[in-house]
Amino acid sequence: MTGTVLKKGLMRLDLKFGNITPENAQIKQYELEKDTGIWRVFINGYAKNGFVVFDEEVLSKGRLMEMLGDLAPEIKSVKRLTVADLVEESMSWNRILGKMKP
Amino acid sequence: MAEVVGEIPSGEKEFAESTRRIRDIVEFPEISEDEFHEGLRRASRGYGGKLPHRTYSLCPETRRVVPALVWEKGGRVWITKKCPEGMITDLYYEDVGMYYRFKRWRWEEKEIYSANVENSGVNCPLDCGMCPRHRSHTSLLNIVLTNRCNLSCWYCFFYAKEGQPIYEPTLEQIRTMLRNAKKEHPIGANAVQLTGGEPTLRRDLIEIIKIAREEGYDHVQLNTDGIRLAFDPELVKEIKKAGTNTLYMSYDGMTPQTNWKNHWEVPLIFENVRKAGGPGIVLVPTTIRNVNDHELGAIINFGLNHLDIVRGVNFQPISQVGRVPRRERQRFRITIPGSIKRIAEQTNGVISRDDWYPIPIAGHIARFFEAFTGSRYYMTSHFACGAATYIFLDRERMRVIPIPRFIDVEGFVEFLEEKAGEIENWKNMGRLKKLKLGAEIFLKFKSFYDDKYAPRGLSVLELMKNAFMHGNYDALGKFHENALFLGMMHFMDEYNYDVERVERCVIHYAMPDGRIVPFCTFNVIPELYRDKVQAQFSYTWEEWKALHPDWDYRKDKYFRSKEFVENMKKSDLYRKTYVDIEDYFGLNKG
Repeated sequence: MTGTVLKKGLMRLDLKFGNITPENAQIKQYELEKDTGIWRVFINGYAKNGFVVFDEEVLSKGRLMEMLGDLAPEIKSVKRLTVADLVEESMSWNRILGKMKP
Repeated sequence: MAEVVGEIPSGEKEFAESTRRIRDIVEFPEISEDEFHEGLRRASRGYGGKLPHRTYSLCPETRRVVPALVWEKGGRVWITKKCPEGMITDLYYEDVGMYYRFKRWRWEEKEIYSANVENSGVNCPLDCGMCPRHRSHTSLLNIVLTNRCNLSCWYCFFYAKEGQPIYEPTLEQIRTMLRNAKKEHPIGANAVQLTGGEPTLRRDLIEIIKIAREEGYDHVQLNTDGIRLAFDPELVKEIKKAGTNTLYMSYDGMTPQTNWKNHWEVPLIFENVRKAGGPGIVLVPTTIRNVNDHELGAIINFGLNHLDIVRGVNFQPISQVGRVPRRERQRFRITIPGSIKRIAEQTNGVISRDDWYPIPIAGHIARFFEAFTGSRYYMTSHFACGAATYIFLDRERMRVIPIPRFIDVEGFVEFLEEKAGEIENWKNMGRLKKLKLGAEIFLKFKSFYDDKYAPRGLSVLELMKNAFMHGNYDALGKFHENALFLGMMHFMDEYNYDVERVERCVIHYAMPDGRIVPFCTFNVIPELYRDKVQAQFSYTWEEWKALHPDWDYRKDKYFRSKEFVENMKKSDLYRKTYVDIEDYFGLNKG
């Protein structure tokens, strides 16, 4: 798989949460992050927002929203990308502090 | 005990035998919930605060991140936290005096201004990595080359068992991982450790070493059990030629019982390294109370006897990852000061407690070397993560001399700190000014140097003069011919986990998904990092077999035959390696 994985399609959901505290954000982040269908997750209990990058072949959007249900999530935007895009975005030269996209 | 032979080494029987006799137990102090909360209320906050100190830790089962109290009792430092699973206390540091001495040399500045994830770090250590909250750049990058292994260590959950997925990143992925850490801003990684599993099982290892060199890494080390190197002298030559500097080799003790992994193979490994003219070897004993903590001095003595190829000994006090009952933690837990104390006892005081320095002191020295050489080697880890020193062998007088006995290292570093402003201007100075400053530093250095105690046959002053005044650093390599590096690196587990230490971690893993993760999150929370990402990038057993039709799982494994052990026991090589060696610390007298 390792050679072909880069072509895999992923979905990114940016979210706002209506019912969240820093403590339950952290617990939820841990629960979600264990799932091999989820490639990146950040749930910010202070800013009450976050995002999830996941593989729809492994975890459906409906199931993901169910898992997030108790935080009262609202989808702000949807984006499609590949694992290769995700890797490229993560490279140190694309994330120099102060030059990163907001 | 009769050694276990005629099977794939796993260590299970040897460990059971070693732990039958318990020499001592760490008694964890009691602390009530009220005392804990009161402690947290009055504790210092922020890196480097005095004890009691408030930090955050990880709960072993629920994985909650909770406030934790680092506190002193009975001359020792403890860490306590209240988890949903109950109050948990463990040993943090066995010597409060050393804790304070090391704390003095903490490095506070943030050294990394790039990240690899969008996460802000509010959920640290669940936000790795690197996130913008991280404070230290990668000093040593680890890349897992494979989860295949030639041993079957009983405690290891990592290596691929028969039928399980195989993790083996492609050359392109390895290059990307190397490049990612190299481009950290403003200081990139310079050193890489190729690890596993057993990295020597990769057929394209030589190509990987060359890639690391091509990507600008000037230090390449292999983390290996050495077994393949014992039986394949050509491979040793090739890895040396390809650019490997160091074999970071597991070496847990002096007997077949304490060092069941490679005791019988070490004589062959050494012989092959000698013939190949390298790479240098760093012996790596995982230090465990009641198991091998009585052999630390003997391991150093062993290293000194093979100084032509052994560059260092790096002790790693045990990290008790996973769910470990309190009783077991009390039996096996040892920390850096505990290991240092045993070394003092087991070297007859030749290497004492005060001969060691915390790792971040190297950061202070690095600032000075950066100005002079342009190379950036900042080791800015948390002061409690590691310790190090150098010992010199005076062959004329048959003495072992730790570096602080003839150089006042702390005094010299303090002087360099005072001069930091001027030193940082070095690059912009004219030739005459450079020479003047170099001469001033050299003259001052002389006042921190005591020739009476210095090892004979090594002209330290001449080497330093060349470095400070003439910019010739090549000669500093001469240090290594008579010196043995001694290091300690205490990787954490769930029980002594300190988020402040993670934030300052300098030993990282690159992952093929673009993240770079501190050692103690990668291995302590494997379900989020190590195991998860490797599951995402692994080949299924069937995929792997289809790609490698001539591969046989059983051929990966090392079978130690009875015949091999019997022949090795009787060999001159064995005697030369283990028996006919000098006793530099008088360990066998009286």
